[in-house]
Amino acid sequence: MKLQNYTLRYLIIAMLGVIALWASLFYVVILDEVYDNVDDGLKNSKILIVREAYANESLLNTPEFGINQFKIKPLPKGNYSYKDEFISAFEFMEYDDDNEPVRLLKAVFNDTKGNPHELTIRASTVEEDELLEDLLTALIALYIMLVISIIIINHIILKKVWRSFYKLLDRLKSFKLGSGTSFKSPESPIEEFKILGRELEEMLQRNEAIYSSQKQFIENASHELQTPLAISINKLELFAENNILPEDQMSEIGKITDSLSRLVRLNKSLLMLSKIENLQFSDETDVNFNEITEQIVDDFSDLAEFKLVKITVINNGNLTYKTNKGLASTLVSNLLKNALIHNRPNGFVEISISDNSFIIRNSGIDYPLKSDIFERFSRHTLHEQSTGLGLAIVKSILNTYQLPIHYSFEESHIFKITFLKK
Amino acid sequence: MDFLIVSKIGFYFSGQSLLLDCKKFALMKILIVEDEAGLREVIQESLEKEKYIVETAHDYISGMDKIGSYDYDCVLVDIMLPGGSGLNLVKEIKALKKKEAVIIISAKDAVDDKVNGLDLGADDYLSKPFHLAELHARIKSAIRRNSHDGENLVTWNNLTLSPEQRTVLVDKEPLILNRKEFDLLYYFVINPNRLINKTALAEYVWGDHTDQADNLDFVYSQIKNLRKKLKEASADIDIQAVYGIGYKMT
Repeated sequence: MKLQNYTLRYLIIAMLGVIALWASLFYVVILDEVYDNVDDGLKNSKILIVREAYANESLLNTPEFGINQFKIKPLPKGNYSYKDEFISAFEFMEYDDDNEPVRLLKAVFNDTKGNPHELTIRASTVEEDELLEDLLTALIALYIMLVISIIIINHIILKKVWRSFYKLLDRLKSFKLGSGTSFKSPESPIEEFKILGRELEEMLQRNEAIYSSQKQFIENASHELQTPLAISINKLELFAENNILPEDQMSEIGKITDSLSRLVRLNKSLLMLSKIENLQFSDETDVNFNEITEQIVDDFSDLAEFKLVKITVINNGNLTYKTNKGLASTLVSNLLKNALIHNRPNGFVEISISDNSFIIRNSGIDYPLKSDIFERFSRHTLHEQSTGLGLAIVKSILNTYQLPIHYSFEESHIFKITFLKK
Repeated sequence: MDFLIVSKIGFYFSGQSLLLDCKKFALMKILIVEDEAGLREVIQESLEKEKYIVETAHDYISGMDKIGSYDYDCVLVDIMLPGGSGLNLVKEIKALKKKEAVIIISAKDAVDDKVNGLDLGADDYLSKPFHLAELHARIKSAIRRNSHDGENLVTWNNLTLSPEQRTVLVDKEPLILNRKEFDLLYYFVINPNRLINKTALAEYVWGDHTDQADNLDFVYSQIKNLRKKLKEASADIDIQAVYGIGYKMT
């Protein structure tokens, strides 16, 4: 979820709570104020009516409301509280043809002769349910308007505020360590983003320095190792050429040379792995896997013939993917080599390529391999010349491009690479 | 280039090819610019056995000095040198418009270096460690390509190979070989009388990633086929197996 929508979500929920709280407070206050007002009017009426009753005794004979909004009922003599009593009640109103809320004031007063009378004054009052309804409608309208305006304002302001942040993100996304370009943070008027940009810049500069020194180290290590190996192998070759040794000793020299050659291959493969893992193959182009597969299969055709293995390529689609061309070739040739080496006479290798997958299946041992086949130095056969790094290199290349490879066994060994769209 | 014919050549080249080869064979001068003494010595010894005149330089300055003062047929340059980059030496050779064939020998095996080196005009790039036979093959090819004789055929007794067209003639009769067989034969013919390590052969016909024992068996079977075909065509060539090490063509 985007930052903008994230804050908006909480804002809208919080606002709902605030408005609900505010509405209930508002309702209580308004109602209180309305009753207060009505009650004041009733009190005033009471004074006027009592005064009128003193002056005009006939008024005391008003047993029902009628057209007046009051009634007076004589009471037997006794002790009464002369306090005003307010009552909310419903009474039928013809106009509305319904019971409507009224406010009643009940008070006891003595007429000029000292007889007690109960005076009831009524006043039509606010209809609470309607008030509530109106209030709710108004509130919903207000809420919707608020939300819309907040979304708009949020959109405009946040966009403006976070613009430099998103720019920073974009640059960060397109930045690749070791590509030779340095990271430049975008200008921002906001202090926090300035600091973030500056810190990122410094951090990436440090990383870049570490990266290049590591790269340097790998290359230097290779230089340092390859040279003594070169000298040893070449000296032995010269020694053997001089032809001064008996055959058994020559054969010993041959074995030493073989071991040294194996060391060279191991060293090269390990270097290859480090280079892939250090993303040193950054030069990417659109590579057509159908073409390189055809070429590599052609390269291996002699070996396949020698091993009595039949290679078939099925092109179900056109697989083009943005990768480093050298790595793509290494990927395909390592997979094919693996399929050939661990095959059996009169076996087969079948490569099928579709628009988004590369599947290679081969005959070989008739039980599935363990899941550690992609680990370094995991060996499943007795090939002492095998470096045990071929499939590790495959895996490492695929990791670089975040592509999955899946191994399964269905009478033949199947390796499937799915090329996800970038 | 000194056109001296050394009598010892006869020792290495036999039969009717002697005359033919000696005419073309002038003493080639090679400069090795390599800081590692052990490697420099072993390359020098091996090249001198092939009757090259070899001079050496151990750093950038002395390399530059020799390149400026003398003419060579081929210069082998290491990239990482004390005092400067070997790539600058390549640049210098090209700037002086000299005719030397240039082969970069480097332990770096970095694609960038390879591309840069070849862009600067180097003829070939060989990554360490290499087999001596491979180095000889590269030197010969580079010198051959670099000379403007137009004669690009390689001959051995009654065999004539055309590396460009990948064809073989035995007494002017064409001999049909498959691709790997041709590669093997070519490698033997440009490395006559040398003991060639079987790994070197495998690497030559297979490229860099020869990491399986199968390839050695494969080379063995290919050589068997090659021998058979050569014998049937009565080619005057002998490929001997040297137990445990490799092969030698005489």
